[in-house]
Amino acid sequence: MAHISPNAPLVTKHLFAPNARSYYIGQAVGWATYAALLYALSPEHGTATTIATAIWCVAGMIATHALRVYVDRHPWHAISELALTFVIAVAVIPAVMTLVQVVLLTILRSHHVSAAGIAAHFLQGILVIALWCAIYLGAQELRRRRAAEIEALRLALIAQTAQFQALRAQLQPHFLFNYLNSLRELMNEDHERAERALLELSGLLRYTLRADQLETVTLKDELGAVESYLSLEKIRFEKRLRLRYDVDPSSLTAKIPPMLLQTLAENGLKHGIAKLPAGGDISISAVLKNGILRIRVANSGSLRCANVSNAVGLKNARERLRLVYGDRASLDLRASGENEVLAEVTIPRSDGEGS
Amino acid sequence: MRALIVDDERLARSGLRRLLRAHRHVEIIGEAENAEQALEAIRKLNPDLIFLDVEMPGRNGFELLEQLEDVPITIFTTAYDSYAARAFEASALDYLVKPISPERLDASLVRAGKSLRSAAADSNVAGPALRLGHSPLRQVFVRDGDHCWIVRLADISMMESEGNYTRLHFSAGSPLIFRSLTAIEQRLDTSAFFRANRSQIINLHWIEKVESEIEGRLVVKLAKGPKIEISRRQSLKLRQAMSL
Repeated sequence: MAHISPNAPLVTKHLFAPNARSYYIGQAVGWATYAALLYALSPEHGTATTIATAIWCVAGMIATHALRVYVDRHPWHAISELALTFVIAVAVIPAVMTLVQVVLLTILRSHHVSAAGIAAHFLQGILVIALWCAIYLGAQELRRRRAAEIEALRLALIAQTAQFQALRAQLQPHFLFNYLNSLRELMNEDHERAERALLELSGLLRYTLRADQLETVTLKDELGAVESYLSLEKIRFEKRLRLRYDVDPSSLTAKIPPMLLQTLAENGLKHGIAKLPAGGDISISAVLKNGILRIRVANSGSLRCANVSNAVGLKNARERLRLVYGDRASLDLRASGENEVLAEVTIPRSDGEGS
Repeated sequence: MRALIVDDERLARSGLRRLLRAHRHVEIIGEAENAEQALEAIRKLNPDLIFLDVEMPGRNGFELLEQLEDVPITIFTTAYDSYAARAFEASALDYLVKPISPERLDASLVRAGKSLRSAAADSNVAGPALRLGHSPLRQVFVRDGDHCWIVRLADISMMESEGNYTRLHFSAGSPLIFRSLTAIEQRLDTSAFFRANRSQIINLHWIEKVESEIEGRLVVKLAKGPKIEISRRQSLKLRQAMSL
């Protein structure tokens, strides 16, 4: 219970409520079993023993239920308070049980109760109630842990859903409508080029949709998609977008999370080129050296104006890297010149990848 | 209608040009690739209508409109998703989503034609109200947080000075614009707008009731609006103007 915050009640109604049924069943079965054992183990079997056993067990059952109701209604803020209650209960309840039995048996005159008998009953009562408390608290703790576990799972699920939604928003081809608009005009202007662009667009969409289901793809596949993407943007931006690729052929088989390079290229375009009336360059380079893949996406523009809106895409890309590679991969975004922003990713080449 | 196309993409501009060929009454008087070019073209050519791309490098479409004193009839064009489109709808701005459908374009042009005609009718009623060689304002663009409006001057019941800003009162809201009341006053149609006191200008067409107070001062009740006290000097003028 150590990790429960000091203000939260240790035992709450909330925890009891859905389990009331199992409590009643446990209470009934437990006391009935105890009564049966007592009866079976007693030296005489007759009405007197039955009555004595019944009184004893019913008194115990009622007293422990009273304890439960008391514990249930009381908001417990300190573990010591709760423990003290149970210690007192272990002393008081057997005394009450013994008293009830002595009084009732005396009234009914069915038994002669000796002082030694009273002491024995009291001791037995202590054992039984201590056992009851142990079972009760054990069950309680088990339930609490399970509830905590469920809560943790629920939180994890919420976090994951949010992440998924963020990812989907990020991966959504929001460039689509601009392309369609350009393509429509291109159909009138240059039919062949429009047809090629349409094929590029189909390929890119297919890749984007499939990418959700893959953990990693080869750099070659991702680069193909990025080239399609940028060639489509080239149709829109025309002379305002200049592209440069410098990719080491040996790096093409290396694996990266899907949409990673795409995210970087898109960021560079959206926050860099699209903001510059005169346009600018995007250059993509990749090298594989000492088992580490280093990808660089540089774009014209300044980091200052990109910063805020950039956060989501980059955050997702970082998160994806972390999920796949832990701390061994990195993504860094910085101003690399007067008027240039550089995104740099390093990814370890995983073992077992074909060379 | 004399129209200007503002879009950073050549293909988008030529696409719109092609769509507009079906509309003989629309004459394309120019194109602009960005806000700077657009600003110059609008000041020089004074178009009746602009097709304005929202997302442009440098200043975007909204920022361009904020630069303009007098805003032509504007049809926004955008490739935005439905979320952004809703923002436009809420603000009652006319917009076309890209790719632009000919039917939607037709509808927008009909609406634009109507507002142009009603603006012309307004200024005919207004008569010779030109000052300093400027034509009177027709509509202004206002942005207040996420909300944007293109407000016809005729719809504004009252303008109120708040330091260097002016608060415009009209049915959909009362946003501030960054222009002083005095600066605006110089461009107002004097037959419609009247300086009530030091800090308020009222639209005479919105007057519901005029009450006479002590010392001959007038108090004016605006339709769906507050009572405005007219200063003593201006009360005299108002009496003359309304020949009370």
